[in-house]
This record gives sequence, structure tokens and C-alpha cells, in this order.
Amino acid sequence: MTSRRRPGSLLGLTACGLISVVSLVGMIWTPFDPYDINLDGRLLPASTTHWLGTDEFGRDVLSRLMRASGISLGIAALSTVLALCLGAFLGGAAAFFRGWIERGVLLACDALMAFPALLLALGIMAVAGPNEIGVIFALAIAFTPRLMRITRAAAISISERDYVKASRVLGNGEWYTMLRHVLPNCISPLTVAAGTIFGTALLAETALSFLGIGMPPPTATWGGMMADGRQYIDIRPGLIVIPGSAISVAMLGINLLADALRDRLDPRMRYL
Amino acid sequence: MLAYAAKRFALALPTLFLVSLIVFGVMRLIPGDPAALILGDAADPETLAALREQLGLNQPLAVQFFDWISRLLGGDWGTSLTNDEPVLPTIIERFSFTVTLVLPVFAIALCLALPAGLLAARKYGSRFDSIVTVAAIVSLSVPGFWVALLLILVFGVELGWLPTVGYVTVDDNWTTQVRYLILPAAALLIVETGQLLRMMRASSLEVLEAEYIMHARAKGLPETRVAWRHAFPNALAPTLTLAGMLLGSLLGGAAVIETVFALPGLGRLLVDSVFQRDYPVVQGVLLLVATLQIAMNLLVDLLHPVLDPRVRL
Repeated sequence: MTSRRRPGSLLGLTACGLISVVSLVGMIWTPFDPYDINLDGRLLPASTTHWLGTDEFGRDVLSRLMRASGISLGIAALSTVLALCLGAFLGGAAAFFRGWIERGVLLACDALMAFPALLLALGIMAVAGPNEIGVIFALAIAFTPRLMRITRAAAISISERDYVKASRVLGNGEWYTMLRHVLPNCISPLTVAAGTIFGTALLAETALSFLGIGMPPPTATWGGMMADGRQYIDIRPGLIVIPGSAISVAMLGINLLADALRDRLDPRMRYL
Repeated sequence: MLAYAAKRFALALPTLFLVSLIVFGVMRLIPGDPAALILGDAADPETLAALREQLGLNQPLAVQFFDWISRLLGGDWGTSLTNDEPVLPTIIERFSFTVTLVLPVFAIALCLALPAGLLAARKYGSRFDSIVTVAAIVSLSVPGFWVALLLILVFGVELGWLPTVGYVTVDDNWTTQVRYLILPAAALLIVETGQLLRMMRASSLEVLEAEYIMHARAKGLPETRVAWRHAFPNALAPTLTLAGMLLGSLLGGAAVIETVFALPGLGRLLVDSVFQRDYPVVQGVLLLVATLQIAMNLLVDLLHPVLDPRVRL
């Protein structure tokens, strides 16, 4: 698919590039310490010192925004990678070994997919409590079934290919054949799905943080910043407008890039 | 049809069983046990042991699970740890509110997305198509809680036209009730329509390339009839599957929107219960949500053959 068909690809790339640079810079340098409380400078408007003003604890909003982008994107990325590993392994095993393994994996998949992802993550967080590892695992578990199904569908057709049969004839073990020959060839559909799931995971992370069930305070997250700024919506609307815009720009970039990726790797879905 | 329905229902039963096993299992992973949660940290060991005996926590896990299932089927979903109220009536009350909010929004979303998606596909590449495509991607990209807060900021705080949080019951004036629901409904509508719009446009584009559409055009049928009589029903099937999933998920509680607007829905009940570590309520809500989703998937499966006779029963 050419960029003429998808003029959004360039916009998506720009938005993702911008957010990635801000995240990387924010993890190593911010104009002020994002956790430094200054009660004398609470809720200050934008100025030459604090470009985006300060929050209710006098913390620099720009610094928190920069640090939060790294944290929110990092959690979304880690949970997507974990879901990808789990989904690819289980889906590949289901397709390759068939029989009771496949039936069991599919049943587990159906059962987990019966829970809306955010609510399943909420339920898991009820057990895990608000912490970084809990959020990553909760989101990964919530998104694993979709990737499991996609891998299984792709791996079933790949398992019938000649090079897979050749690997068996050469005496390679079943696990080796699956990991060396089947799974690497599922990369294309998995990449397309992972792009979309990364965006959904980011949205879910911000929602969990907004609800106060994600990362514990004072960790800077986009959702957490909006939750804190909610009380001051009438006097400092920027406290919710700014992090919300950051989430929307990131999501727009991810969605547009995921669309472009799908056009290239899965032309059957070109109209979506 | 009845045999097909019975078969689909029978296939849903193992999933439902596993869902209940997951809900039961996850709640058993919590630190401590229900007896310790009910009595608190200061409870002495004798009282704890007595309550464990009373609640059947000394039994093997399998016995506890089947005991829990039989109580669920008998309508006993446990008691809330925060207010000692039975869980089931609370859940039903909150669910009925969520239905009141979600169903009209969902109906409006369908009424907007289906014709707009089809029209955008018919006018592929036009200005209208571009507007629909941009609107759909923006709707998918903005977080619901941000949209909700922006609506509060504009229509509640700045213009003062509508109440920002809270709710009045049906017993009060219905116009007041509607005024409280406008902003949450608008927020839900903005973030949920995008997916339906995108899917309807995509499936319409695929269908409009099919040979039977060319055949219908070659017969000289007017374009409107080609679109509504021949393309629309065929493009509806994938959108319907998505719609079923969305509705199931929304009925399970628009947790974030309900929390922003302080509405007494099922999603907010789950969020509050997670905060209060009220596990019987969390368990009950999750079980209901998953059951609803399974039921919606079942309903969509049963509707497919009705809409498209090519789908074999």
C-alpha cells in the first residue's frame, strides 16, 4: 500500500517519533525533578520557568509529562511483549501439537476473552495491588488470548508447509521445529496484531492509572496526572488538557502506524 | 434452528465453567483468606479458625468451588465485606442503571455508524469518506475519561448548561434524570462509535467489490437499492460480531465513564470494590460481566444465520 492511500502514515510516524523522543529524553533528563514538591509554587500558570505550569504540589508539569510518557509507554510496551511471548508460545503449541493441548488452549482463550480486557485487568489488580509488575502482568494476561488465537490460526497453515515437514524428516525435535521454523513465520500477523494491542494496552494503562488502580503515587503517569488534575478542572484546566492531549497524540500515532503496518503486511485487511 | 441454538448453548457451557473457575481461582490468590479479611488484622486465632470452619475454608479447594457454584445457582452470591449487604441485589441494581445508560447510547451509535459507514464506502475517496475515516480514528485514539473531562469542562464548568457529576433516580423528574445522563452518554457515544464506523466502512468496501454487486448494477438497479438491499445486509455481519462484543463489554460497565461522572453503574461498583478489597463483590461483578459477554457472543452467533442464509446452521 502506497503512502498515497494512507496519508496518515507520515502523520503516525511523526507523532510516534515525537512521543518516543520525549519519552527517551524524559527518562534521563527533565527540566525539573518531576517528584520535587514545592508548596510555595502550587498551581502556577505557564511561565518562562515552568513552560506548562505546576501541579497541586508545585511539581513541574512538563517534567512530569516527560517522565510519565516513558513510564506509560514502557508499561504498555512491556505488557505487549509479554503478551506476545505468551500468546505466540501457547498459540504455536496449540496449532503444532493439536489434540488436547489445542482444546485446552482454546477453551482457556474463550474463557479469558469473555472478560473485557480492562475489567479483567481491574480484577487482577484487585489481587496484585497497585504496583508496576502487577500492571504489566494484568495487561499482559488480558491481551494474551487475542495473540494466542492469531498465532494459532497462522501456525496451523504454516505447520502444513513443506519446510516444516522437511524439518521433521531431518529428525529435528517437535519443539525445535515449532520454535525454529513455525513461530518465526508467524511474525507478520503477530506484528500487525501487536501494533494494535500496544495502543489498546496504553489506553488501558492510562485508564488504570486514572482510576488509581495502576501505578502507585507519586509515580508520574499520564492517567495519574489527569486524575490529580481533575479536582482543579475549573481553575487549571491545563492539568487535564495537557496529559490528555499527550495520550491522544500517542494513540493517534500508534493507530495510524498500526494501520500502515497492516496495509503492508496483511493486504486482506486493507480497508480497515 | 433450535438444534443449532442448543448446540451453541452446549458449547458455551464449558467456557462458562472455566470462567467461574478463573474467577474462583483469582480470588483465592489474594493475600490472606476471606475469614481474615472479614475479621480484620486484630482477630484472634480462635475466632479466625471458627469463621474458617463456618465458611468452609478448611475444606479442599474442589469442595469449596462446587459449594460456591451451588450457592451461586441458588441465588446466594455472598455478602459484601464493606456493608454486609447481599451481593446479588446490589449487582442487579447497579446493572439496571448501566443498562439504562448503555442501551440508548449503543442504539444511537449503531444508527450513526451503520449508514455513515456504508455511505463512506459508497463514496470512497470523497470528502465525506475522509471525514468519516478521520472521525473514526480520532474516536479510537482519545481516552474516554479525557473526553468525559473535556465535556465536563466545556458544558458543565464553562457554559454551565449541564450538571457535571451525580445522578437522580427514576422517581425524580425524568427531565432532570436525562440532564444528568447527557454528558456521560455523549462521552460514551464519542469513544464507542469509532470502532463500529470503521468496521462498517471496511466491510462495506469489501462487499461493494463483490460480483453480485456488479451483477445488481448491471441489471440497472438504482445505486440506493444496490447499497441498501444488496450491500448493507452482507456488510452487516462482521459489524454485528463487533457490536456484540462491544455491547457485552459496555453492559459489563463503562467503568471509567461511570467513575468520572460518579454514576451508580456496574463498572463503578467494580472499581469501588477493588479499592475496598471487597472480594465477594469483585467476584460477582466479574462473573456477571463474563457471562454477559458469553451470552452476547451466543446471541450474535444465532443472529448470523438469520441475517445471512449462507451461514449454515
